[in-house]
Amino acid sequence: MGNPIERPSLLSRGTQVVTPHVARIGHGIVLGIVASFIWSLGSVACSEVNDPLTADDLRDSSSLVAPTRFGFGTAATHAQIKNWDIDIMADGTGLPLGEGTAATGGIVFARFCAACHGTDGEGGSGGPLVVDEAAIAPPFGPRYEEWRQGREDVPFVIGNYWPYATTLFDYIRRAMPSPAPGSLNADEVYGLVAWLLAQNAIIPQDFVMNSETLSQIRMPARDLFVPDTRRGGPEVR
Amino acid sequence: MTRALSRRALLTGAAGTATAAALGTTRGLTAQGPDTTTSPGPPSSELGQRSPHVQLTRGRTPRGTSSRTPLQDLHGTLTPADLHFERHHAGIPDVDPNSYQLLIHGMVEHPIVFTLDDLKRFPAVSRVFFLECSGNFMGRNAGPETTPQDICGMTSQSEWTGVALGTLLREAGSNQTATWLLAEGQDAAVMTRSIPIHKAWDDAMVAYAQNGEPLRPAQGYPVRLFLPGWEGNANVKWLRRIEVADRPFMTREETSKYTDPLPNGTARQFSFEFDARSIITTPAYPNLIQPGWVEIRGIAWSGRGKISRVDISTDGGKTWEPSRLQEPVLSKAHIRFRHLWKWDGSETTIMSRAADETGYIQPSRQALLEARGRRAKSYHLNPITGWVIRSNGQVFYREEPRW
Repeated sequence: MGNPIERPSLLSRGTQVVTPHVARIGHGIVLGIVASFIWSLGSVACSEVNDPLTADDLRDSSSLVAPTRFGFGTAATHAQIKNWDIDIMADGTGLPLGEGTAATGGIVFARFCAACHGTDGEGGSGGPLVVDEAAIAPPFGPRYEEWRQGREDVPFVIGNYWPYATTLFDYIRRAMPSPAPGSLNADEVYGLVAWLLAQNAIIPQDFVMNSETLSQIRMPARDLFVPDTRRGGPEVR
Repeated sequence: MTRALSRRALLTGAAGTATAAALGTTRGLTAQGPDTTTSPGPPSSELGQRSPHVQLTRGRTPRGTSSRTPLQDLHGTLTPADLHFERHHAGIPDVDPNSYQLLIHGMVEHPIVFTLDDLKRFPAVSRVFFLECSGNFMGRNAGPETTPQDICGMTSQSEWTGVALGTLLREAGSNQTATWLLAEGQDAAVMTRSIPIHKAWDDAMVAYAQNGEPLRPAQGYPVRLFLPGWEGNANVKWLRRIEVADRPFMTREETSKYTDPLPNGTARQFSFEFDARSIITTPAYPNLIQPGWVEIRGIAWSGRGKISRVDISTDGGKTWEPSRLQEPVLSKAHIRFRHLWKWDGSETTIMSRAADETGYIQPSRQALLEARGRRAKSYHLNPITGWVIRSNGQVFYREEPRW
């Protein structure tokens, strides 16, 4: 994921909390773009590229001129980078070959996941993954209070809180199932992602999940997230 | 904290005293307990231990995903490494230091692999900082029999030593247009978090030592990321990879977890810094105090810089007085506050309220609830904590309405 890319144009941010979205595959909509607020966090990054060696610790050794490079460490090989660089970015960069559907994923889920997350993903010793009416069940905020009408609290799950579907692939592949993380192959992970998104009513049951289709799914919770505006000072936020 | 003396020790002590008195020797003058002056104790040893009379333990969750520093049992500001809180997402890996490698790649001119020895060759920095779990608030629906350790024992303080992350990024030739980096651990969760790169150029460290010794396994041995003042989860332990990029990676831990739902229907993301907080650690549950002079003691800290003051109320929040802050007051560090108080024996509630150099004042629970909403997750909650002192001297956690 190391290639510099152009920054995407700023996205307008609606205030609507949750809108049911079925994947808009093939509409050419640019998806997986990081929301604009992210850049506000990152924009200060290079404005002060301090030399960390001018910290107090090094003042005593003022007779030394810290070199640009010390020459410690060894060049990383392409093979090592490839072996360790397993992350999937929000635009799908890093997704491997392979595919799966809710049907294939359901078999994997029953075998490796249901013991902790429940037969239908309703939760157990592991957290819930699915909520009824996921796409219309805001987990919090004013619309939640209005919607709730005496129901129990809706859990924060994939269908109503996860902003990126690509995160599912990344997380399941690196960390699940918890007794044997890293043991699922790409087809199995694609199948699980399909099953979980179908259970949450984000995609239809017959949706074929692969690197191309997964990277174009827009999650209902995508626009929930905003930057941290806390900056100290007297206001409680 | 005093272990009951064994019957054998008591008998021996009593016999020693009696014998000394009978013989008219100078020994046996100890008022109580075994006479330690009549025979040499054990010699020095290769590895020290706490006194057998001192019992300090971390509270531990049933599933073992976390444990808590016994704040009410500690003095000063440093946390012994074996009492540092823990929060693991897939247990504690046993990393071999000889084969350990840290990879830095992505938007860099020179992708590099560092061994542990390589990292130690770089100019080192040592700093005292607190480290706190993002979810360090268990007071949500707590009952009166709740200790400081229960409420917020997932904060600890150490002197951390390592190499400035900026030094490593410079070595790798980090691209000037990079804005984020991914930190990845080598635990079974292969924990990942995205970090704004400005933190690397500010005060982030790649740490390999804690309180003078190599990191404990539970704290990331052999190497962890350390981000002063930032939520614990982002301080990735067992660090094996740093990828430099120009956008965040939207990992599970920074989207579905460690984000803050707000009452207006949005959710705050990348909320790294801890706002100022304090807690009275004594008197607190389960202490029993006597009327007369009582020194109220506690700790305060802020992820945004130095604590500027800690005010104490001994009348349930009606009036406040400044406490004394133990120097040196370090930035992004626990500081110790103390306040002398003469308790008249009547029931009351005591509480502490910290402020930091940004002008932030630790909020009441009600103010925090209004800002965050009923559906707030238990992340980044720092309300004022009250302790009720009953007229019989028993101290209890001040219960609050259900969140």
